[in-house]
Amino acid sequence: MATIIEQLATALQSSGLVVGLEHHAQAILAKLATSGGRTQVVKVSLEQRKQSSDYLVRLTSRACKAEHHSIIKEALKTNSLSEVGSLSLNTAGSTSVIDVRHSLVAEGLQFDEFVSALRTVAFHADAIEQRMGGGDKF
Amino acid sequence: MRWKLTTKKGTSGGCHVRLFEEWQVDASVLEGDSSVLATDQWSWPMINAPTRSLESWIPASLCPLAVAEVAQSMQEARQYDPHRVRLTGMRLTVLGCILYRVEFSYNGEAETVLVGGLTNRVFTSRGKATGPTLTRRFSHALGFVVRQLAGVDYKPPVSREYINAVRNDRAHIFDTRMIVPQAAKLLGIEAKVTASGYTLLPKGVGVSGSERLAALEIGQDIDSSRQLVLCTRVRIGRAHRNRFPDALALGQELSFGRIGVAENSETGESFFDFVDCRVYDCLQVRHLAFIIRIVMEELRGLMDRRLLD
Repeated sequence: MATIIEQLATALQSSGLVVGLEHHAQAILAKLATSGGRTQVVKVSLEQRKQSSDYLVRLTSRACKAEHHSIIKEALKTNSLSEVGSLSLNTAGSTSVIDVRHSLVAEGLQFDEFVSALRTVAFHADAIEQRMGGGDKF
Repeated sequence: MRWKLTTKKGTSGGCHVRLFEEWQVDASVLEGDSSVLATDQWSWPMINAPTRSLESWIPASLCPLAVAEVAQSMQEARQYDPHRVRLTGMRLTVLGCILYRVEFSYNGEAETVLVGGLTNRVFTSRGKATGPTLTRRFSHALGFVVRQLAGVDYKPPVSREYINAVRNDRAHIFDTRMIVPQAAKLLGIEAKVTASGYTLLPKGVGVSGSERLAALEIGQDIDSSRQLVLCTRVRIGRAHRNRFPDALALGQELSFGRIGVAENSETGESFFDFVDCRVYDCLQVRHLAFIIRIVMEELRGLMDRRLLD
């Protein structure tokens, strides 16, 4: 039986919404065309909440490096606005980065809700990357 | 399977043309080229009397036409299924314009040209000459009676439950799907309507370990992509600069939402806020209830661990 991630990957492939797609049972890497010939990669993963049987569909897209304290302050201010997609500091790698993340409840997730979130996360992250002058790496 | 309610609003109408003299012209084309001389409307059903009698504002010569048009509308109204179509009212309008008839002779032939309407439309027709030379006759006014049935196929965009809930302060006017009160009901907590949305008072506020958890404020906004979004906000406390990286990193840990910094423009003080925004149109009641429950749990844990103090 196909996992929810596999179902979403199949639906994405046939929808023509993405310009590139890789997936396995637990995650999707979807590349979306944004604006001015730019693209943005969004990782879609299925995560189980700690000490719970609930699953979330997480959408994550890298926006920029967190090189200065001013970027962190700016990200926190942006987070207080009414935008879908959360800016968060990812310190797991050798360089700290700012990710745009959004979580959806996996159970009963509708495809239009997923697509709306996927596009919003991609456009939000790409706009930040563009504003930070970071080219089109992500 | 999800269902989307779509409604169509329309107006069904008819027009009856009356020329005071029988001239060879298709005067119905002048309907859109005429001025409104008088109009009145009244609400459905038609047992409601017009606000004023037809005779008081419609020229006597047009009154029989007006009555016939109203009768025809009532006849038409019977064709609509009341479960699918809601009629809202009747509008009766008298339009008018001047039509000129110009009779002249050209190369010994008698010709007639009719000119009328706001844009001076020209109609040509052959007619009997009234004399050997060019003569002009200015004609009478041309009368129209137009009837319109407003609201054919109309269905209100909101439910009766919503209207009653707004009246009784159980739903905020922005929440046309009433998802916040429904989610609160699933959680067994109260959603209090405020000027900007709702305040949800979590259970256990004031008890040990949770006394610092503030109420959830839920409101609606438009994001930069012009989407209607539902925003849940909780004030956590004063923001300290040295905690900024930790606050931003919490976004990796939280199941939903993020931590933001809001500044008080008057005092210059900064505050940590929890914020979660979602597209309103896509949001399901049970998902919102689930998200609120998890947010309250996680914020309690965050407060208890004093992560942002």
